[in-house]
Amino acid sequence: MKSAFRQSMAWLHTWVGLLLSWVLFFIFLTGTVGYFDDELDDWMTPQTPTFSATADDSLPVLEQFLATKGADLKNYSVSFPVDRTQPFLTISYRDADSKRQRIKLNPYTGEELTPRATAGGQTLYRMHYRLRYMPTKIAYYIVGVATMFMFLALITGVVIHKKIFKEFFTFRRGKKPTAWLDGHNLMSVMSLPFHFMITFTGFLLLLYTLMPLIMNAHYGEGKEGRDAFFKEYFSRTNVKASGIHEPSLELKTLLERADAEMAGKPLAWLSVANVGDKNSIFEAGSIHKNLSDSRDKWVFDANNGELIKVQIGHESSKSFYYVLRSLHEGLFASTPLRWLYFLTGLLGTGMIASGMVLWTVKRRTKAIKSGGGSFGYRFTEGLNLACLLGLPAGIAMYLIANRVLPLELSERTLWEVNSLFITFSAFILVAVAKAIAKKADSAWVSLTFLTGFLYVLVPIVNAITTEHNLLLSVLNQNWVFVGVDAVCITVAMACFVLGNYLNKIFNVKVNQQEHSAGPDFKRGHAS
Amino acid sequence: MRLVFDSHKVEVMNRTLLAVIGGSAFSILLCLCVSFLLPIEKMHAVAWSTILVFIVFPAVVMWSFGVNNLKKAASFLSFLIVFLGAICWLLLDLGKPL
Repeated sequence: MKSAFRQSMAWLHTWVGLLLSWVLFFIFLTGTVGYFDDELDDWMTPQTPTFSATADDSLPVLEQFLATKGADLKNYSVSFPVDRTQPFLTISYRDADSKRQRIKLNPYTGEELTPRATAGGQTLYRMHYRLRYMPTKIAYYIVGVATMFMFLALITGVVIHKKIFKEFFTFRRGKKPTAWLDGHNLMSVMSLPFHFMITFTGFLLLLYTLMPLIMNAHYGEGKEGRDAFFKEYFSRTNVKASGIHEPSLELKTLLERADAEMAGKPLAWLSVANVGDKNSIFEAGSIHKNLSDSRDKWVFDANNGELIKVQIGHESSKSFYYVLRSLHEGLFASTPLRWLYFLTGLLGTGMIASGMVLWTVKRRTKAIKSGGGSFGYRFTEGLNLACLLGLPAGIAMYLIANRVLPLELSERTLWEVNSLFITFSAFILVAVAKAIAKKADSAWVSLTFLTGFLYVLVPIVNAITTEHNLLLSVLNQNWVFVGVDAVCITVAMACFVLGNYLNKIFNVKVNQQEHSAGPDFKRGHAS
Repeated sequence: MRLVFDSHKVEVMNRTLLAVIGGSAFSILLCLCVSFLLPIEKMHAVAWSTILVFIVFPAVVMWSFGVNNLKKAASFLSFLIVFLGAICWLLLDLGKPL
């Protein structure tokens, strides 16, 4: 009875795992890279320096900016340079035509920074939950369903392994497919808490999009209900202008008021709404670079400086929500912890990848016996291999495109993203076509080498097109550029080693087949 | 990894339907009940019970693939769904201003 349950869970694990593994692989890899989104932004705008200034450093710049804009500025918000996510002084405002503007300023000199047009690390990171080339809502649902599949695959995966810790130390090397199975288990168990955390918190980020019904039952249907709930839950302040004129206080006075109330907490952002109106609001907020992500904020009446509302910390479900959310996003993480996030993310990606490979390897012997396997089998192998190699190759291409696309190209950011997906699609076409033609082996080898080659190109192209070659970056201690180059070289090396290994195995296999054509055929491949 | 309960594709389809339709109906209704009954502020009750959906649903999915007798399971779940539906309807009605 018990083992029957475990076996049914093994079945569920296999199919739940396979069905959405392609989407999950995409989500995991882009998400993992996304832990370094700001660093990639920096890398993709090589002419723009970054700064480590404080709010106090940049206050004169802000005042100067406000003085030049004068009375036109009714609504604006300012993000002070605080950490890696915000290295500039950023001001968003509505201009005279009430169009949204957003400018980045050098926090020391006030010089406007105009980075090259790039999709940057942010776009790559956004694809992690927003996908691409489809409406937002549909993308969210796909990601939500994929997350549920991931969650199920994780739970059933644990259920299958009664002796999870014993099996954790069992690695039967070289005996395929057990080696693949053990590798899959190793990668899964090693960072199992991370996988559970990242998957479950993934739900939380899309919570009310995926499951709006309970909210609707209490707050009403559609957008209105949603807005009502969000306004109450996330205590959003949006105040409409009344049209009645009333003079507002100077920003300097307001900042002094905020300073008195904030009791030494560093100012990270401020926003002013409806200057010169009866309903003018001034908000000041502190940094949220910690696990509890408390997003402290102070709301003032901008006309008399009266404190309207204070929000410090969270309670009940909100503290749960914000802690889990910051665990997922890892914005609080210091550099070593960020690398740990990156590595565990890679392990998760590897877990999905090895699961996909395992599915093929397990069906391989039978497929060969029946002369290449069914169409479904071959198609799946092709897709597996296309995803495992196509997406990494696409990301390399994305980085290369940033360097080689002409700067004056219109819609340059779009073409950066397109180059990722063009590469990806080309890989899918080649891999699936070859797999269907029963030449999956050669596709594995050649595409692995090609991916490695693309990763070698990244540092080379970077050295040619910018003044940040690896040597100079090391000398200047520009760790972002060193890091990207080092990671690319590492990936390239891994690809070459892997390609060699696969080549050897497949050749052995061909020889073996010539000798015996027997069932004891060897094969292995990797992501 | 063969289907242990039944290798017919019909069985798989039935269990999938039970898991997806039955599972979501059950978990949403259960959590809706919870959201009415939790003795805390309304917004927190809504948040907690929405989070609960994502724990109950996978549990039901696993149950519907693991359970031995599919017919019994389906009728049991349907009964629960109707029962919870009735309670939710009552609670929704109670919650309305008179």
